[in-house]
Amino acid sequence: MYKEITIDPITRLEGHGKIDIFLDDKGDVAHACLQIPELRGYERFSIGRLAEEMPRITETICGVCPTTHHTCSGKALDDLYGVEPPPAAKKIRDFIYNTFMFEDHNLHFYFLGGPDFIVGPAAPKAERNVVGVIGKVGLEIGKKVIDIRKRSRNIIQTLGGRVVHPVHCLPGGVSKPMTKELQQEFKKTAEDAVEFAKFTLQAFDDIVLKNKAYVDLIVGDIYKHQTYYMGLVDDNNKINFYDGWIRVVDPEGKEFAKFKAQDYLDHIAEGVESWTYIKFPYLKNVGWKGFVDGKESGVYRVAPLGRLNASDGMATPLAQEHYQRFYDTLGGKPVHNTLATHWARLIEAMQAAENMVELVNDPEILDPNVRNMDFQTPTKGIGVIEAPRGTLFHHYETDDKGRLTKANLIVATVNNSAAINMSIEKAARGLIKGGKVDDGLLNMVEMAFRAYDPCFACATHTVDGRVPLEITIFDTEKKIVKSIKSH
Amino acid sequence: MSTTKKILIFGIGNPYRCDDAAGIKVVQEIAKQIDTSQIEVKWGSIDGVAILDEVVGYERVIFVDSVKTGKGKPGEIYKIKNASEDKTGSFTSHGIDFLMALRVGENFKLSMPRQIDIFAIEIKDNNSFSEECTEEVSKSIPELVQLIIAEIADQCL
Repeated sequence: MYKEITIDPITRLEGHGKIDIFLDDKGDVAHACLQIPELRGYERFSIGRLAEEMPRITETICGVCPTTHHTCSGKALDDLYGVEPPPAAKKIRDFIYNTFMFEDHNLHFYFLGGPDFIVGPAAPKAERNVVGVIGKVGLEIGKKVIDIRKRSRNIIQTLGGRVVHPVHCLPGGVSKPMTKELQQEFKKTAEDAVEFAKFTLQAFDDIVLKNKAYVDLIVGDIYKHQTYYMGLVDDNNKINFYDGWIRVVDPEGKEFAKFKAQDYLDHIAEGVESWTYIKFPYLKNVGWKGFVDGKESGVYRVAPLGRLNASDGMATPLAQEHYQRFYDTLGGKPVHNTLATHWARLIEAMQAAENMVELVNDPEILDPNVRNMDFQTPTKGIGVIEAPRGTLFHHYETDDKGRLTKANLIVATVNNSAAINMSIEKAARGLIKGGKVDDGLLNMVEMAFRAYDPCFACATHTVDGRVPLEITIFDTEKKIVKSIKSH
Repeated sequence: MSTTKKILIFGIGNPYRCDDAAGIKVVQEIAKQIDTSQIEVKWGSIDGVAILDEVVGYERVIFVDSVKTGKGKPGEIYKIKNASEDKTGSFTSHGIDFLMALRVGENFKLSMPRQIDIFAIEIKDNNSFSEECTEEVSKSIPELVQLIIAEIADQCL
């Protein structure tokens, strides 16, 4: 038998964030930090598993970006088994992946980060959500958002086998080829995606860039850090989400490093702090100087702003026009303003849509040869990909039977973990004075971390516009002054 | 993702996090016992917006999840009857504001299900890495399978 229950007691938030803000005796902010659950469990759990299971295991780390983990894991298996996927397989993976990037970036703008701007950062909490967005942009636009998202997910479902946890990536290729019939159907979706990306960029222009208060907020000092930036680029240093070189630029925008995934340990180290499970990656050849920015600090940033700064431009024409305008408007490269990430995200959504058009129209994508099974004895495999929220590394080592002896995952949000902490503290210091705290101010603190589109361990993005988050403010005696749960 | 099927049964959870997989195990067992040509059975970790994507177009949706109410015993079975009619609370499942998702669907005048039911099992451990549920939760899985099959008996047998 079952018991009927009311809905209130059901709370099983996983992967929620916790911001602690400590006040000094004047009521100003002495220190602030973000804690998130550890992700290392998957690495230990994977030991002894057959490597070919990894794309299906690691994609369950996250219900928000399973396509990213699945594809990155597939790339690590290519490297592990020494196989190069046939061109059609790479194009199918790339097409699915760009479709995912397009869909996920739009999700963030309309459902997660966008309400802060579309409805307003100080709007009542009850309105600062997707329903408030619908109220502002109109029902018809809302329907367009839902429609293009649904059709994008249909591409992932059809080619990827499943949309929630796709199954298409296999070592050396993909599980099935593209048919002419599907190609015709997806061409229309891709073309409509470009039109939608145009519309969204125009909406950002109208709602955000034409509002002086919002622009002042974006370029203001409380949301600014001068850091290194990292992102994947192609041979021409143009942004590539699926593959390429990992490029790092310094806080002045000069190239600092450019390397392949297999060499990532020569460039990235991970620091630990006693107060959190999460590690803090930094540039090995600069060094860890703590939670500070500047050229002497190895803190780097990934995600849309990091990718734009780390590249010499977008790989597609319409996105490139917006890239140019982005830097012309915000004072040249690199842009250090964290909230500009929202604009960068929409420019990337445009590139993803244009990439979709290019890939689906490529005759080679129809080649039925989508698997190379000329496997070598496995030893070590490393994959890299650009998640919507930043660079992701999968590193596996195995015995000669392909059973894992080591797994190291550096997920996108972890790459940004030091910067997120710095951004939260800086925003808190700038906004909370004399012990005066209200929901609007705390939302503006939260905006500092929401711009990164942080993604915690398990499916925690919520439809009301935020990652489940608890903010607690302590006085000098560590007594709680105020506590807010944003869910 | 158009469908001609009228009913969706969706197991929510992570297959590698011990009792978190309870909902998945329930729907996988249901799929073995019913005629799935008429009923869609799916599973996965999904967020609020994805829930909206999943439910649109079906007449009836049954979610199967795991919960920690803090008040029940591990293995206890709950049912939230016709959640689609409850507009008052803030039901969260996997960080989902479930009712907000339904509100969005209604605002967009999407083809929303007439009935959404949520079954859940009180769980003990969703932190450990394991593909098996704890003994208390495992024992309840066959019972919940039969309860759900009984709910849809006239539509699937």
